Amino acid sequence: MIKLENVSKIYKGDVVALRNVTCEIQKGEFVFLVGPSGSGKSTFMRLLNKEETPDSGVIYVAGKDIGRLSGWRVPFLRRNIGCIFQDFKLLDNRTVAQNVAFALEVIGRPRHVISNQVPAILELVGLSPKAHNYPEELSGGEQQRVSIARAFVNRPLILLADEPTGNLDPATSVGIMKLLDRINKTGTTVVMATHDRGIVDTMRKRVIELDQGNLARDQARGVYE
Amino acid sequence: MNFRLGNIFREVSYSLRRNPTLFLGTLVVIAISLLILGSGLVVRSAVENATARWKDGVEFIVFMNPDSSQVEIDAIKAKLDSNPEIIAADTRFVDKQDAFIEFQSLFQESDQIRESVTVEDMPPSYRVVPRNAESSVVEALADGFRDEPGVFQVVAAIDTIRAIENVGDNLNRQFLILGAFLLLAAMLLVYNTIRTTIFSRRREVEVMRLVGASNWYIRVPFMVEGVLQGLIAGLLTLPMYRVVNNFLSSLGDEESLNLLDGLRAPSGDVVTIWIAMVLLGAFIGAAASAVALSRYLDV
Repeated sequence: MIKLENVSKIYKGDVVALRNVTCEIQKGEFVFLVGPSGSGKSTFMRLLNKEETPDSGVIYVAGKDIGRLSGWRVPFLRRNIGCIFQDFKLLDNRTVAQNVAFALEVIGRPRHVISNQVPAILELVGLSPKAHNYPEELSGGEQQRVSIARAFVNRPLILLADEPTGNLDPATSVGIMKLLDRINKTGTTVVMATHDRGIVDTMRKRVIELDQGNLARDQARGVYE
Repeated sequence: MNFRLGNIFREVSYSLRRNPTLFLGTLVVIAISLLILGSGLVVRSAVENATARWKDGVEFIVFMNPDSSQVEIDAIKAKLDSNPEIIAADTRFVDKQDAFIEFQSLFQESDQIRESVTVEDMPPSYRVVPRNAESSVVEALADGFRDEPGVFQVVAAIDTIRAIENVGDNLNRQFLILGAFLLLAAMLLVYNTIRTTIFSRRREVEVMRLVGASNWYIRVPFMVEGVLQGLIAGLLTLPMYRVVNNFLSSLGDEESLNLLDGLRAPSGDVVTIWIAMVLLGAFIGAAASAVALSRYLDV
């Protein structure tokens, strides 16, 4: 599903974000990306949905070399990749249902599809009763659920989660991880960057550790360190 | 591309509601710049209209003294007829009675002036059509009659025409220069409006990019906003052109004894200028927002 071959990314001022990283993630895998701040986790994620381009190396997503993708096809790549963030990135002026529907509207899904899929996904994340609430009326955990619903409503092949529990208390984090696990079980590949030792140690999924841009460890059923 | 007109207009109207003062301010500046530019064109059209009437039959007028004798009048006619530079057939004699009627019509809005003269006070005149309409020729011909007995005054219409043309040219040039500067200011304002809109909607734009909205889907509402500003501003200028045109024609009526009559752009020209300004407004909006989008919207 995802393959990196000798991928390097160096920012201005010789700041090395990734150096010669090679790894492969299979369809349906759940992978934790760990490492200290500045180790290259976010760059790794941003390269996968082509928000960044590597300075060298090749990246394949769903069998396609995304380096060869022309600009106008990038949106189509992104429709196959859902993204979740630490700060949720919800639109304050839209309700929960509208936030989720937004992801379908802007890619031109027909209205009847939207009106079917949005309630279904809100049911999945347990937010049906709050469909008409605004983000500011929700707790942090609920907001992250909305964010997950928006990322997953289009049934992407891959879900990229950048520190999704970074702003949440441990109990809420467990709920979010259960939800991501459920989504993973539907066949969606999940790549999650995290600093949360407890979660990684509890879930015992594959762990890829980055250190100063180098791939330091790639361990099946791994722990945080 | 996945456009849904409703979505686009919802985005645009939301953006307008969020920042109405900036939108309105920009709109007013575009409208003023288009108005000034368009007014320059209206003035030019009006001047062309006014001078065209004179150019067709450029003439100078030999006014006789009101008490000139028939012999003197006939002598002038003989001199006009014998001059090969003058088209005798088109040259017309306006007697006291006709002059009185013309005067009454010229000053129909001022009873005091009309009542102050009688038929006997009016100077008879010859309306002369020269073969060559060049101002130097007309002047030379006119000069030949100034010192003839019984002649009160020789007026070459060409002087007035040149004066109108000069005033028109100057006004036109000034309007165009001022309009061009204002247009530049308007473009910068549209650019900044769109920039501000992009900034105020950066979260939406970010989400749209992440979920895979096409580049055009993201760009179009911003472009529509820019074009809308230009279009509305252009549409608003029509009544103002009519005001400018009415002002021009009022100049002719009051001050210049009919020489400025016709200083009015034909309504067809006004509509053409208006349409051109509406299109120019839309173009300015589109161009400025396109530049702002390419610089500030990384899609």
